Amino acid sequence: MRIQLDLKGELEDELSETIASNFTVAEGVTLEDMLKKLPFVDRVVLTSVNGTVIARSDRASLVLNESDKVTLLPAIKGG
Amino acid sequence: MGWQQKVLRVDLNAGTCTTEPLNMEWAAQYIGTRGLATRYLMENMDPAVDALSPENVLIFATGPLGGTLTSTSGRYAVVTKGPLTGAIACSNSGGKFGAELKFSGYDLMIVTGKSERPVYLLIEDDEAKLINAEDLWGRTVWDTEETIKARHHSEDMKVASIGVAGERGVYYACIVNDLHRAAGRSGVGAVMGSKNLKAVAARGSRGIRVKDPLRFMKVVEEKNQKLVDDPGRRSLTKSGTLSMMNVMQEFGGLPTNNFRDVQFDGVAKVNHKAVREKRHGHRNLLTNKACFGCTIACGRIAHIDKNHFSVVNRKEYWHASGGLEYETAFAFGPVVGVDDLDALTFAGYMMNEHGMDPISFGVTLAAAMELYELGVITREQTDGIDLRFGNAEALTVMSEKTGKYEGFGRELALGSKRLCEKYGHPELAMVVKGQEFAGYDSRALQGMGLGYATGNRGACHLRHDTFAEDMEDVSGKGKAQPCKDSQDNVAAIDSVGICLFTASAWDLGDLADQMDAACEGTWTAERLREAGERIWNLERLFNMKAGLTAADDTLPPRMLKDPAPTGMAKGKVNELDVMLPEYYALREWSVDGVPTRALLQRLDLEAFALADSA
Repeated sequence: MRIQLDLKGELEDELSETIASNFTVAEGVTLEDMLKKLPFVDRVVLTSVNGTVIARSDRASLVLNESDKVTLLPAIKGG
Repeated sequence: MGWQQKVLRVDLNAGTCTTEPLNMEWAAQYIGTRGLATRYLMENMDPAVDALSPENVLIFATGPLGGTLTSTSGRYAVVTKGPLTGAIACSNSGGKFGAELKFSGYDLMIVTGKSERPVYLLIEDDEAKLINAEDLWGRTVWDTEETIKARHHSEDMKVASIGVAGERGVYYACIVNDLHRAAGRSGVGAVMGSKNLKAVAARGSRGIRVKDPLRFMKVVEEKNQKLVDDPGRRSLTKSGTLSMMNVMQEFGGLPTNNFRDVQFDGVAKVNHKAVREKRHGHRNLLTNKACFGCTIACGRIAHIDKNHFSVVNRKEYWHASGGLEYETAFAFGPVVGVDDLDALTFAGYMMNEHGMDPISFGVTLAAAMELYELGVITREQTDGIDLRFGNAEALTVMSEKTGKYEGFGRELALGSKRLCEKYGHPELAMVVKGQEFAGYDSRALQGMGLGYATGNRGACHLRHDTFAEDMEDVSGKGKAQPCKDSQDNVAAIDSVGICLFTASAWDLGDLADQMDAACEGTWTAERLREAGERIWNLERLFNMKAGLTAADDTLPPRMLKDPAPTGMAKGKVNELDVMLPEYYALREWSVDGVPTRALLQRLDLEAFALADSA
């Protein structure tokens, strides 16, 4: 099934918008499973699904659904 | 080794330039730039003096790794008492001037007194002299730099100067070097202006000796590769700091309309994508640019659409110059509600040309806009300009008026605190210790709020790093420790003489490896950390001797009482009341924020103990 990955900040450089907005995952996959597939998972600090922040401890139990919008934010540095 | 071991002392009262050996015992404890200059400042002035009096001391300082092969080694710091805050000011800049000062043979330059007439300082290796600058007084930074270079027939000369803003005492005037790099914060340019010192021009030919050249080169190569491979570095090269705009918008920490809001509707018009897009046949961003010895190159070079209202008949602004970074974009965009990219870029040009801190200017203009919308300030007072949020003309006109110290610009020159106090609404000034907030709302970023409140130079985002912790959890829980630890680490990084952006890839161990190969003694991460803690506490002691107290470690009522209206911290206020006592305890300070004698003994700071140190 397809989900929409919404990457912010430096993570925007990791995937093209076309790939990110049509990201394919298996049925029943959890947020944590999906994140593990991303090579930049170590830099993801905050996750939200359809606008709701998902705590790190809840990522393993949250099952993604078709067309979910998953927003990923990196840690940032001021300047 | 590393250090040049020489200090240039400039006595503006007497008109003399003399040299003296660097105090190597202090260098061993305070490293360089920020730390070492603070130690010299404590020795050379009474912190209680008026910041704009001749008794204030102005120090330009480089670090032991400055000018070496280490990446980003072009940094220098200006350390003095800040007129904006009445606290210690330490303002750090890139470009090429810092390395040139070191190539001239000096670690520090200490400026005392006040010249009877405007002068500039010319440094050419061992020769340093003061030259009449009456013909330069009243001229812009850009004009001054060009004129001095032409006068001395040297395009290679590096110049740091002030514009009219510094001459006229704009409280947040800065010192600009290499046309568009700046020692930007706390009003260090106003101190320079108060001394009738228009510019410092340096041309050096000396190398920098390191302890173990072969080991140093090997270590530098290894660390540079680590920086090359770092994704944070890659992002800074590609997008600069501007990519943070979307992150803060999503998170709900993007200060908008003088911090009333935390998300900005016009964000897509001023973010890192907008500067790359062609609009009306014009693309704002031209290229990126690196400072001396830098392998990151986060700097942006941009140009303004020739048809934009701000420059349509002004060819002098059609050239490429310094472009938008996150802080300038926030300060000319969301916080004043403006989404006109060319207007933002023009305001940036004004900051560089006339020598002003964009953060303080933008947040001061935002406060004035709120006062205007409340009816406290009227159109008659603003030279006929409609000062409502979102008006791009208000931004461009006022940035120029303030830089030239004209009309309502003289009111904006006061900074937010003095402006809002003057008009009877001190609560609208988004400041700590008189210095304006950077582009992060401290209801969404709780640790940022603690860092602002305890910042030795007032509100500042570059004195600590709690971003990761803040974004993991929007409460104040667990923020005091990373705030304290990162404050100490940043003090060490600054004092080595390199750019804070290396911290994306390098920890103190990486710095210690390079220090140990370049400098006398044995350098470890722990030694650097302890030096950082010593520096932080010495800055604190300077401030307390200047008259600041724990009452100054606070945030404006908007952050403490008005809940964030939207975003991921919706409904939250900053939990400073919880974080601050925990922070004081971790710092080994009393409940009144005074460093204890036991701490001062551990850090070899007993000589600076306050009368009420427990």
